[in-house]
Amino acid sequence: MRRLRLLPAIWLFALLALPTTLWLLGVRQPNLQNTPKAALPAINRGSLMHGQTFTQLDGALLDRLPLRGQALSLHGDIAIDLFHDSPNPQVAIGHHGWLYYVPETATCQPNGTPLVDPATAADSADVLARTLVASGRNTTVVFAGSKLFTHPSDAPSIAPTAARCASELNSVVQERLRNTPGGLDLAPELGRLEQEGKPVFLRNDSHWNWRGRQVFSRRVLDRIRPQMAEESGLGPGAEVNRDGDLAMLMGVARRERDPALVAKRTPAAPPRAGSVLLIGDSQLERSLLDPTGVPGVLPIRDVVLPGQPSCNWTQVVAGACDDAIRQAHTIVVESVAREIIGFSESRCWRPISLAAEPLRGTPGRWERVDGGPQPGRAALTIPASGAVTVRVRPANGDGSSVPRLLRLPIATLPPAPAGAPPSAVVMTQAPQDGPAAPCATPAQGAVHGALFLPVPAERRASDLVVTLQGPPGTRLSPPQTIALDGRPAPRVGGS
Amino acid sequence: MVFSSTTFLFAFLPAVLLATWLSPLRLRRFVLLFAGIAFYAWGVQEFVLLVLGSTLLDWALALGIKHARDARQTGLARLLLVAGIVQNVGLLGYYKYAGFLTHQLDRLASALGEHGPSVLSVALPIGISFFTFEKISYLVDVWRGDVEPRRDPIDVLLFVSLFPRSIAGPIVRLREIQNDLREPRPRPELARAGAIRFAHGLAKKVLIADQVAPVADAAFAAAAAGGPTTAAAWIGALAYSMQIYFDFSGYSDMAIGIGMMLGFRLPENFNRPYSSISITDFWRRWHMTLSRWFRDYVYIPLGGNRGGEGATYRNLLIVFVLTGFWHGAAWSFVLWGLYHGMWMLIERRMGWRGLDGVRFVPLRRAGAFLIVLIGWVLFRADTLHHACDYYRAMVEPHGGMTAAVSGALTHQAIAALAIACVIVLLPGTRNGGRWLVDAAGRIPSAARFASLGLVLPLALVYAFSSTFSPFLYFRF
Repeated sequence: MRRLRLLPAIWLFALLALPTTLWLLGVRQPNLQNTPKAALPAINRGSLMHGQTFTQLDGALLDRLPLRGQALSLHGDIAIDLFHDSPNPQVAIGHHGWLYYVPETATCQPNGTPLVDPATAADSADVLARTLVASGRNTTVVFAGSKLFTHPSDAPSIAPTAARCASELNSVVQERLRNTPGGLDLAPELGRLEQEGKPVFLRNDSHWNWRGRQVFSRRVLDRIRPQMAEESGLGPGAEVNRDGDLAMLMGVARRERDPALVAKRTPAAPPRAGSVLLIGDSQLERSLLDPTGVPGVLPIRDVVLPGQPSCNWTQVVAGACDDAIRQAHTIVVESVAREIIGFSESRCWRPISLAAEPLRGTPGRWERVDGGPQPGRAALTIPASGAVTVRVRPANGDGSSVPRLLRLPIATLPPAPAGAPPSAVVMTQAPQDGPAAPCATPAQGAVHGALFLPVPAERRASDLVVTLQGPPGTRLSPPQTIALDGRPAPRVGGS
Repeated sequence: MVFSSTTFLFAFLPAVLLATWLSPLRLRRFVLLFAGIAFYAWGVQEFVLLVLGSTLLDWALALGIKHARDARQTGLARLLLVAGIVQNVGLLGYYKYAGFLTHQLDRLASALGEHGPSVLSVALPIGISFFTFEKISYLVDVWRGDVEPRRDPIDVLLFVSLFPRSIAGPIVRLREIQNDLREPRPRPELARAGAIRFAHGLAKKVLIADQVAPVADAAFAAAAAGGPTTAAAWIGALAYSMQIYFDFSGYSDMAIGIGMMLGFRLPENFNRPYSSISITDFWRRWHMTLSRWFRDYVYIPLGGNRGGEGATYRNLLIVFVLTGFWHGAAWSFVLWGLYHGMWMLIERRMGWRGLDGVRFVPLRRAGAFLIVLIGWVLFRADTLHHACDYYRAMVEPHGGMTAAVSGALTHQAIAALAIACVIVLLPGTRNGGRWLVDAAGRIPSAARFASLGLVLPLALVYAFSSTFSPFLYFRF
């Protein structure tokens, strides 16, 4: 009788103690989230006085206790199968079990206001493509459209006003890329397949299925060299199981069969190693770089473009890809649509600045707008205050029907005092009429290097007032204007 | 540490239960004292020593008060009592109210064109409002002769640090658990009741409060960002009313349940407050240990209702302003307290507070609930300005549904809200947790079985998976 009375307490204790007991018995929880497990903190008298130690202990325990995977899966199953809800607000469940990534609408506010000016977003893609073309490179700049807009037939109603705005923003960028030298717009081809009832996205994943990957890969390879896709025998191979990333975000396992996209052979005379650079987000990675999942079948890049480097955007932004960008003769740039703001604000300036390094343009003149003495056609010197506010007067007129790149060359840069950070010229924009120009170089620390300030088409260069901050005595040579008209621009030391 | 956190549920609690059950009686309170200190240190490390030091001071002052009383030195006893109250109120005042008060002084000085004091920014130690009141009650009870002071400091340290109720109540008086403090005996019947009670509380917290919370959050966030629609505002206020009740009463159920499993009988804190037929009735059922504290240590010492109508009204208003201020250092809490105090006065004036022979009970319940719901907006809003915006959204007709609230109203949230409303609307006067533990018969037995066999595992699954938030692609 006494034992029977204790049963509820014993049952409760057993449930509570089960995960820790299993852990003590050696059962280990595999990594559930796509980040490393939280490290166990150092435990000593000092660390016990810091809240961070306990927070870290909580995180470490959570990542290590067994049965959490089962709990997540059960929670997810209850939410999805019983309530038809997503257990993760970042994932929305659409019709027929299709899953969608809610942050794809994050380029707009809930009231439908885009978080970036659509024209500026398009300008950033436009200027990048045109600059790569101007540098003489074989160029492909492509935005991978989102599942929400490409496969809308099964989409749930996710913040309809924001979704409409994000879709329109996406369309503006895609349309610009369609008409830009070096740009590539996949939307019409993907849309056509969708209209034919052939989905191009995976049901439980935020990425393309084999059809979408094939469209992307074929177009990219053919841009690198015509007929390359055909030569490599690109096509669907054996079916493999794919764990949907959106399902994993909800803590459940949802697999679907999807043929691997494979290349059968290396084309004759493949590009020289190091001459093709692939820069991109996960769609490029999934399409060209990731293992195919079929035993013995290599990723497309390894078969078709052996020895060619690739960089993700984190590497590009961190400067870890600079040499590869400088050396490549062909550059493929891919970005997912939801990153359009990040693309404009932090991603595009570095490839533009690197590609434009050797280009030269028509000299113009500086015009100070801070009341200081006008340098005219002479060099601009940063005064003792450490800052000068200027605009550029191009020689060929203030406006232009094609985008331009203003090259602001640094002639001399006084060294920093010992122990101080290296000297650099920092550029900040104070546009007079309209938004700041996208993809401008934020800072330059190399003598004989240059800052680049894009001027979008139909925009007056004189609107783009900038403040240059640097060590007093820094001299900038007269600014140059490089026309981004779809043709290679003259190079420094060339004709 | 929070009761529904993974660390507490799957590591701390089973370890403490096992250590308590297996330790010999003479060591058991040391185990509990260590557990209490560890539990508290998990949240506010540097503050532990201050709490322990302050508690030891209370212990010494209580002995001094007793000694002075026995020696008929009433003045000295009173002086020691005042010293004890000052040190506790000073602690609470500094950590909880110094930032607010300096901010008000700064604003006043700015309005007068003067330089005000620098605004203090003091981290609020978790649970300070609760254990400070408990420490004060101990000193006052000793002074009144209602309880013998404890000669063993471990008793007082354990009283203050007893982890099931150290950070969110119920507010316990030492005399209520003095025998258990000396010899905590988790008897089988108590452990059984505690496990059922704990399961009940965890389910309320995880399966109802946490599920409706996003609805309330979305509505109040919408108010702060420009205004929800009328329907969204009302749904948000309803969701918050359910969230706060199921969250707080669930926490209390868990505290009472853990207390029972460790050998302590903690006082009840809730008794179906949304079944109240008046605001007076509501405060007899909501956060009962706080109401009781204010009644015994503020209202009655102020004269209670012994000084005529005017004095009674004054005392009531003082108590409710203090009640509001106790909940948080902001004008919105003061106004919330005043709002309830005003309703108490109106009920007293109109003769609506009596419970005998009440007619139109459903209507009275609906009315009382509506008043409470409207008050919760003040309580929940970040600022008075946001509260005003929210009230405006509730009364100014604005069609449609705010997208964020609509998004938060998942099927699960709707189900949780509906279940919460049904529980609240159910007839009956008995506390659900107590009914589940004590009631006899086939239905209570089935409910107990369901609670332990189905609801508890489900609640643990939800608690275990609640912090899952991977990045889609962390390197982006």
